[in-house]
Amino acid sequence: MNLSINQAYADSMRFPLFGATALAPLHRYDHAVEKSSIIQAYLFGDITNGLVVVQPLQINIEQDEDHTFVVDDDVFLVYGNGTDQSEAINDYVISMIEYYRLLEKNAATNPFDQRQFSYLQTYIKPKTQRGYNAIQADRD
Amino acid sequence: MPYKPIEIEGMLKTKLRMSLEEADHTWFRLEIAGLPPIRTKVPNHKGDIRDKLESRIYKQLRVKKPFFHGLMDCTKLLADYKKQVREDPYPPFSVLIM
Repeated sequence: MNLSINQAYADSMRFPLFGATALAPLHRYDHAVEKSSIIQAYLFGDITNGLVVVQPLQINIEQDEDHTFVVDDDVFLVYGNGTDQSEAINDYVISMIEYYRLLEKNAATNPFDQRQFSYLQTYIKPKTQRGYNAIQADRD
Repeated sequence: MPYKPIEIEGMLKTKLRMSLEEADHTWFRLEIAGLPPIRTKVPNHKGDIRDKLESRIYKQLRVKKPFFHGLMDCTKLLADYKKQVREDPYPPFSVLIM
């Protein structure tokens, strides 16, 4: 089983995803989904130039009544949606990056956000100081 | 009948008085004294919000479906919402604040 993790970017729709049960890459999961079923997978590795998921984060992939897809996690309650699974996962990752930045921004003034941000950083961290600087530059 | 994103945004802004947070997606934030900030995101698309997607929004708001529909359909007010999330948030905040 090949479990190599590739560099992935939020705008490329390529993320290191692994099935929850067998840790198998979900290359063909779009053929495996049935209506009303939930697929669980793990997000792990680089999610953008500056951020990396350092602890596997379980995500749920579910199809809605209109055949669009919803992706979420049960830890931070962040979700993404899209017309297909790739789009929904991409939207989830972008939403998670935004959530990271919102918490980071408010952590200095709100103790709840500070604690939540600390907890989020057990899952997601800046890859390097250089990556962190890139995030800050992007924000500015 | 499914709600549209603009209807949910309207409820968040006018009824819950949530403030907009700066991001590419539309994020709203509400601070209630003594509780963690409540954040929710409204999808960017303009179509109907179906059940699964809707469930993610009321989960972020810490309420269950009937209460969310009460907020949308004007049977619940801001005071009801604050009381609800103080007394019986769902999912509970303890799940997140470790």
